[in-house]
Amino acid sequence: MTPEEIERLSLDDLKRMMTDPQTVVPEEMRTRLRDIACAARLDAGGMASLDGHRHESVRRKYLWLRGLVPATALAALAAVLLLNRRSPQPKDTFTDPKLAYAELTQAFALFGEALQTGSADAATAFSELGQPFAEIQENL
Amino acid sequence: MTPEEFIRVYLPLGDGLYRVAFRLLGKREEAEDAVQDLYVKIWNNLDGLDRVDNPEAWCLVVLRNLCIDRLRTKGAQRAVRAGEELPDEVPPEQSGRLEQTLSAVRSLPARSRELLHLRLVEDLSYAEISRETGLSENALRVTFHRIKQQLKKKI
Repeated sequence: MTPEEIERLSLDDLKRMMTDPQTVVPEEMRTRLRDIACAARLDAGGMASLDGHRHESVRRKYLWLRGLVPATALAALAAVLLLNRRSPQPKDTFTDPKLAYAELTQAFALFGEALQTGSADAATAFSELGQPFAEIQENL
Repeated sequence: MTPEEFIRVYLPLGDGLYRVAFRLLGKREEAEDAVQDLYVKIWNNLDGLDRVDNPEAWCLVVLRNLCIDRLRTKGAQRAVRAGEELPDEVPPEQSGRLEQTLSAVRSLPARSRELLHLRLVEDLSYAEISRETGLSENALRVTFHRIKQQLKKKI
């Protein structure tokens, strides 16, 4: 073919030639392609793998594992910070300390009163609980 | 584009590209050289190939241009031999790193190249190569050490 004839070929023409079964690919071409692949690997730093280390591409494949630990730590830190920000913080409700003191005193008084009522009820309950035991002992 | 993609995407197109080059140039050796030139060109422009959407179409167009250049260069050389003047000076092909490495690989004996292929491209371990070839792992260690030394002298 002349250069002018080749220039006139369309992409479809070239694609058809690519799959033409009549053109046999010689073993020499296959060997060349294998050599090109080897040269590419060597050029990309594959010389080290000749010593018996796993190939660079395999090491690269698992390289992400190295980043797993710091990534997990970072994610945990982010989660803690996020939860801390979202949890409700107690707010000051009193501006006047005297009023706050009065409220506190009232709260303690109520608490004390409730505690007293509770203790009295508990004492009554205990004494009532003791009655059946006393009856059992008497019958024994 | 990464070297991995070069091997996985572009190299498998080699058979088809050879068929095209052979149809355009008409000679086996010429076609093989044109395909090799194409791959050297691709390797030397790996970064620029990130924008290529259709590697097959891209390779076909570049290969066609390489074949045209080859035919024109040959035509010019014939003209010089016939006593005519060379129309345009053709710049020498810039030699890239892959070309140098490829030449070093091709200088190795066929058996060493086979082993190199199993190790580097097939990514087999010494144990796997040993099973495949029948060579002991120790023998492989020695052979690969020698291959490495031979390559280092030339790269």
